[in-house]
Amino acid sequence: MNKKEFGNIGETIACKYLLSKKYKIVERNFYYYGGEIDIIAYDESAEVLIFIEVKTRSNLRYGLASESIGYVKLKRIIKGAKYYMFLNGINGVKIRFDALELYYKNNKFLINHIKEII
Amino acid sequence: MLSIIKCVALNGIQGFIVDVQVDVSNGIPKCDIVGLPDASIRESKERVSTAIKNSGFEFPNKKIIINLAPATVRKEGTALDLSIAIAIISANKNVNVNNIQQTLFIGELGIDGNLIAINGILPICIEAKRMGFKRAIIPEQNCREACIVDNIEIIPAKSLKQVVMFLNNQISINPVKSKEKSYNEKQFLFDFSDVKGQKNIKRALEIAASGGHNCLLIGSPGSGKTMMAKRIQTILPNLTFDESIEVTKIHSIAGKLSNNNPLVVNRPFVSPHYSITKIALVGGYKEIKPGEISIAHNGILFLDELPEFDRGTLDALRGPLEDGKIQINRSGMNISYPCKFMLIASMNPCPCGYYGSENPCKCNENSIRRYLNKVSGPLLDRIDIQVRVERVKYHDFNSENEEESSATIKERVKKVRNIQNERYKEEGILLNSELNSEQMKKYCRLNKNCEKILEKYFDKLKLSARAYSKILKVARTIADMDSSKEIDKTHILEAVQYRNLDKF
Repeated sequence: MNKKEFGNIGETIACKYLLSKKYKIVERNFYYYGGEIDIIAYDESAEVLIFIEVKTRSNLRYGLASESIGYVKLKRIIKGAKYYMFLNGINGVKIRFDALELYYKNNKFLINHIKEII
Repeated sequence: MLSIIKCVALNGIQGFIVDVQVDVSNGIPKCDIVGLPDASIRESKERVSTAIKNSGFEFPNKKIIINLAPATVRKEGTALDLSIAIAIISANKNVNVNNIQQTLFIGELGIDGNLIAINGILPICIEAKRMGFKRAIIPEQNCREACIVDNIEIIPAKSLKQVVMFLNNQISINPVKSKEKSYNEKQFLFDFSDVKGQKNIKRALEIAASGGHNCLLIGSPGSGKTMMAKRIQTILPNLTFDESIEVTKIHSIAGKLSNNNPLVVNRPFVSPHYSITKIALVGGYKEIKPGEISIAHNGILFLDELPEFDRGTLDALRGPLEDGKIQINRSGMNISYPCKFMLIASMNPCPCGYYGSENPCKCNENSIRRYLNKVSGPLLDRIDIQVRVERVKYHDFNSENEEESSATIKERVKKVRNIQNERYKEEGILLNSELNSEQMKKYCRLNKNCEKILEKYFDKLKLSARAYSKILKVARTIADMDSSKEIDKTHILEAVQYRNLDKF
């Protein structure tokens, strides 16, 4: 299993987690010039559009997953979010940026949901 | 959601109203401050956002735009922190909007939500009163200084949480009562009676103190120049309340006030070291701070070892000495601070220090000229009284005679100043040294005899027009010390004697 497959598995599990939390998955792997947004979800109860960055790690040799989301990555996510809203004509909606950390340990994924990373 | 809070910011000692406008809307979460903030205000969004969270309120994760109107004027300092925080909280509808009207919020926020004291609270409160604010919520440490202002309710607060609870009528804070004017004056550790002999210098300094004249002491090392100059502050009358407020305003902006000493009562005495730069002396730097000459407003600026100062630094004093105010221009800002000070300077007559005294001088002519050239002619011309300080004689030094104490001299100075204040009541000035040419014609009229003497000196010493008017002003002060209405022959003769350097 290479890194990309491992990441995709992580994203699939993240989607299951979000669905269990009553979020709606709007789009997965939204590509744009300059990057990708892993998951775009919608929280109906709070009426918030959520852009989610998923990070999956099998070990902690290179630090925590959340540590790898730096300034440049945040800028990219914001750029992607703007582009997505422009494409779909979304305006005046509450917006949130979340990060999902997934750690693979003993054949299990541990999930840590960080809200409002910006 | 829009919320606007009025606040007062300072431009020099003048205040102006700043509208802190906060808009919270949906969109990509961010927090921006616009309206020409300086670095310390731009950083305030980090302080404010953390302080709001740590005070237990919600910091909206939305698009927040903070505008400081008028957006063309540069704003500086951390005093706007509290206003910005309250504006954000009120945009979030967490505070009773009715209680915000006509209230001034001033203070710096720490990230724990506590209020931190700021500089310049006194001028801010005075200006706020003028602009019709009914009450001011300020950091607790600042309240002793702010309560000098009356007719505005001063409410001391410890933290942002306390302020919000106060606005929501959940707690009540008692406003500070403006204190009775029981501010202690400083007790000096030294007195004029410590100075033995030197009668003529004491007389010269008394004249200088009475009329607010500038004074230069020239003498050999160890003759007591510095000692006597330091004692001038003991013979000056205390500041009046209005003067005191004016001085305190400047000291407040410069951050020179302590909580024990919220009001400056004694005349300031500033003696900068000669390594001082031009900017430090006249004021300026990035956020325009008052310089030493403004700190010395209504008091004394004492420049020890005058020729050791940078020539450019001294020449920067020329304008302020005449105008009594300094206009500082920096990019996009011009600020004027008052600086009506009495200049007292001391210097040696030559590099070795003994030229013209009983000891032989070791300097050659060139080095003396080079030494004296460090002080420019235009500056010397502006010094009314220039006296030579001679070596103290042994029998003076060891005599048991009681010298006059500062208190007696102070009484006399006070009397002479009262005469002047009374005479110039309608002119808007206080002292002889402030007379302009029009007023001099009116108040310094000479009789024939005096005119003849002055004419002789004027031609002989090739005096400048300014030196002429300075002599007249000093003569006026001497006449006032004699309680004489007219300037007499003796007064003119004494005044001419005090122009020692013109003879060089």
